[in-house]
Amino acid sequence: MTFWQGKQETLELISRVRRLELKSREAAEGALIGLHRSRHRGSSIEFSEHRAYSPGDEIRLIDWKIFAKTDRCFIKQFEDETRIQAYILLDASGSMAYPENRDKTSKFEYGAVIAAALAYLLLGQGDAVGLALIDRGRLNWMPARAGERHFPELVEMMARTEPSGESKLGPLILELKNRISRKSLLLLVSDFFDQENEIETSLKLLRLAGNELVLFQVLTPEEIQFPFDRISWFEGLENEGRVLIDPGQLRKKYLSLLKNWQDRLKRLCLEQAADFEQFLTSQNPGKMLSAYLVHRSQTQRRRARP
Amino acid sequence: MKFSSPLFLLGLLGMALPLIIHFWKMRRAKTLRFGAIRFLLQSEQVTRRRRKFWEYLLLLCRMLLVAALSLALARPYRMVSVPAFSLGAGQKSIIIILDDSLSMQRGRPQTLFEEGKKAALSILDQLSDLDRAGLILPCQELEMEPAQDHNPLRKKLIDSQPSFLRANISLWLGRAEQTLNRFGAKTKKILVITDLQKSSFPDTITLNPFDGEIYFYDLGRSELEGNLSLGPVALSRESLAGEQSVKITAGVFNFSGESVEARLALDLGGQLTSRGALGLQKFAAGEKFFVLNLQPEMSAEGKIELLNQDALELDNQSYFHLRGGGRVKVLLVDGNFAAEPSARESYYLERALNPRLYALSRIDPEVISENSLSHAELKNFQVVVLVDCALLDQTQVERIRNFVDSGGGLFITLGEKANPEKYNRLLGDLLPREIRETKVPFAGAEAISELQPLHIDSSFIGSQDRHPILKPFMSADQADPGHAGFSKYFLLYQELVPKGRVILKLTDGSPLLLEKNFGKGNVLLFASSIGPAWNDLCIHPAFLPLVHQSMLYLARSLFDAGGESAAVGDQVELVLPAGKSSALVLTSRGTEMIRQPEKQAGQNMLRISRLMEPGIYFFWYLPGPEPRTRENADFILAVNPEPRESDFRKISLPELKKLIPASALLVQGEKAETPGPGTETPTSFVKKPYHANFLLLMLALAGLELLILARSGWE
Repeated sequence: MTFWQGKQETLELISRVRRLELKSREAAEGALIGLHRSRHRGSSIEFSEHRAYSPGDEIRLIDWKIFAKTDRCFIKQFEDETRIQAYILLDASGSMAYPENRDKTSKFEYGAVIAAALAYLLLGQGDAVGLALIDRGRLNWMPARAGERHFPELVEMMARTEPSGESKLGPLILELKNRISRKSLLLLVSDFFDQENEIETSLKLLRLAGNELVLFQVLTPEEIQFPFDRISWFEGLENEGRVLIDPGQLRKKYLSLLKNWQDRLKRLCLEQAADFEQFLTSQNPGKMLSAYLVHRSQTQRRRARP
Repeated sequence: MKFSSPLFLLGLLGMALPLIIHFWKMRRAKTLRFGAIRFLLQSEQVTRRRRKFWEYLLLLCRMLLVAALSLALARPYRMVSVPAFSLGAGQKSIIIILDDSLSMQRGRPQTLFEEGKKAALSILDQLSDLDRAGLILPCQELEMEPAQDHNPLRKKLIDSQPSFLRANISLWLGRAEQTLNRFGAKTKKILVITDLQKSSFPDTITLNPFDGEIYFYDLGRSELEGNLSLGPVALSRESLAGEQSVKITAGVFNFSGESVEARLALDLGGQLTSRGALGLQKFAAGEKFFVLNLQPEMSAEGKIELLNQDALELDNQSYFHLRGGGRVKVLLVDGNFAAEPSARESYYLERALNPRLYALSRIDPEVISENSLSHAELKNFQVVVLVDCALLDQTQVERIRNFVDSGGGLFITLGEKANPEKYNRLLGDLLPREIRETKVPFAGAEAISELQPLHIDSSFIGSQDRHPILKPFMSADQADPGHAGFSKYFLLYQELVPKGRVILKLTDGSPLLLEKNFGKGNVLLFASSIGPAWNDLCIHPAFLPLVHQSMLYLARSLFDAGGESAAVGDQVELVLPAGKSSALVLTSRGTEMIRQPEKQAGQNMLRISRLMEPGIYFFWYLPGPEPRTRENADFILAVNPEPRESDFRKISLPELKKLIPASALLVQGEKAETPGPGTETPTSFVKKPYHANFLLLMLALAGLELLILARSGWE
């Protein structure tokens, strides 16, 4: 690599980081508009319930007032409102590079904006955010950390990544599960174009481990509508090979298979109490995120009610 | 196959065009990188075999389309050998006689008649514009005189259909000879296209010597063809106990050189009723009969069918029609009801109508007094008999009038109590004639030899057009009603315009039994007593069939054991009853036609000159009851083909020469059994173009392509 090439790449990277940072902040702020209640509560200790004292408990936690009234020792329990540990899994496999046309936003770029915006929101709340990138069939990993200074690191890591290689989404989700030490909020941003059964198994295992799951499926309008009409060679972006196809003849079958997979994914999320959102690259990410967050806050409130 | 414009065959190279386009499109296809390729691959895998099939079919279709186009443009043709008649080059007049008889309808897949048509057309093709040509279709009695314009002949030939009739070729040969002689042409030729069936050349016709040439184009098969056929069906009740059964007999003919077991099926009212078999020696005939129990209110079309496969299937059905058979309830109103049963006027009539223990009868008589008539439910009866009634009043007569008007039957018998003046006044237009005074034929006799009673005039026996009531009286040996003696009877007024029909007369010409239509019903008037008071008819054997037939006739339940049948080609003549002006005929093909009668010897004669097709024909005399149904038809006729037409045996050449004295007689044709007499005629060939077939193929392929494209569009 020549000096100039290196310099050029660095400049491009900086520009990409800026652009991503800008777009994600814009999206995050856009998402916050319309939320009725601040997500930011700060750290505090709130009383939760009493339980009988047992040896080994801290004496300072004994509720003396109850002891005075009942002559029995009870321990005060508090809800621990520590930071949430969140991991964003961003798929940077070959299929996420679609469309490769520079004029259009690729699924990866769109996914990165969503991921960064989510990170921005979470860090703003004081939560710890980690990032896992599926890059060339491997898991590129950054542990969860709190603090707003962590945000540029995350953005840079995403900006440095070029989507390519196979997805291997199923096994890599499992790898992520093994690396996470405690129950976390997992935000999966991908097109989920991989072995359906493996994805299903991995998601179930993640959920079994007590993690909370949110799936963001990023697709392009071309994939949803299949608007092609000329006989063409269709080539995969993850070395799946190529095939000569008359789109008119296959459109119906293709759309039905795609819909089947999406239905299956939605059903799985419903069973596993995970959120599922589908974003199209033609849609405004801020508005989409906002809609999702409003929806999420409402459903959580409903869940919280007895 | 040869081609008129073989250069267009180069177009066959164009078959490669769809292939080239196919591969070019594949090569020209751009590469698109696509994210959701896995679903595309899955879809392609699932539908690959089916899509490939339709894709290759479409490709094949397009290639064949190009091939068909180039073949059609190359105008393919085949040389077809045609009957090599030495028609000569000079100017000539010819007449083609094309046999259109029933036997020409045999042959598969193409009938002999179709072959004959083609031969006739090819002969026309060989004629020059100066030649005159005429056409004769013998069965259709169509004769087109020789003319130089051959196009009307061609059109007629193309449109012509074979008939179900027998052809008399000899007769039409004579006609053709006369026509050609009349035209005075120098070169005269007659071409007869026929199967040379022996029965088409009857011995009875001898032709005059002919100075022209007669050519026979023989379409008959050289091998001896086997054929079975059915004769007309006969219906009878002979030798059967009771009248609840009918015997249906069909003649079966074996016109083949080997013994055959004929398998037959009886079909009645569209339902298979019975099956049977009959062994027949070669060239022999036999009879097969079926016995059938009559169902109530039966009126059904029937046919007997031969189930054997043979050369001609159109002669394997024989039609008939059954009518009648239901139970008939008769109300006897006895004017002498108060007397002892055996002394009543109606005693003999009632016994005769239902002899109970002695014979089965489908008539149920019930005797009541005159007074009870007012309370009787007339709708429960089909026939009311007034037996010498005296106390009839206006109300009773009105009820009877309504009963007859709505289709009931009325039988009036007279006697001592009948008052002519009262009957004429009350019954009025119900009576076929007004009643005068009584007559005793030997009144004023002075010697025993003068005490001679009158008898029934039985000259009707054996007459074909006798009244249906009199049908059982077939010969004088069986129940001759003429044996009964009449000592007293009523005279009836003569009328200028007769209102009714006389069925029976006495030997002095006085009417005895008369009929009149009234509304939808009928009235019969018996001018004497029905009991033994004035005549001894009731103790004669003729009494029972006469009263039975009368009641069944009035109840429209008469079963005509003889049936009415005719052969195809027969002429039908019917006497139209008084008061009827025309007739509606429903043919076996289902077409309706109105026939007007012709006056002949003071009678209205209805005539159909030739019955063209087999089947059942229905006749309704107009004006008549409405609505017209097959059950209330006035006359039903079963028409069957002539069995002799099914005999395919051919006439030999010597026989033919003997019958036809022409200056030259040539028999030839593709299937000639007997070659021409020493004339080696060269076979000539004509071009038969085929390009229309390829154009049709193109259309079919284009339709198939559209269907395939539409199908992929639907998917």
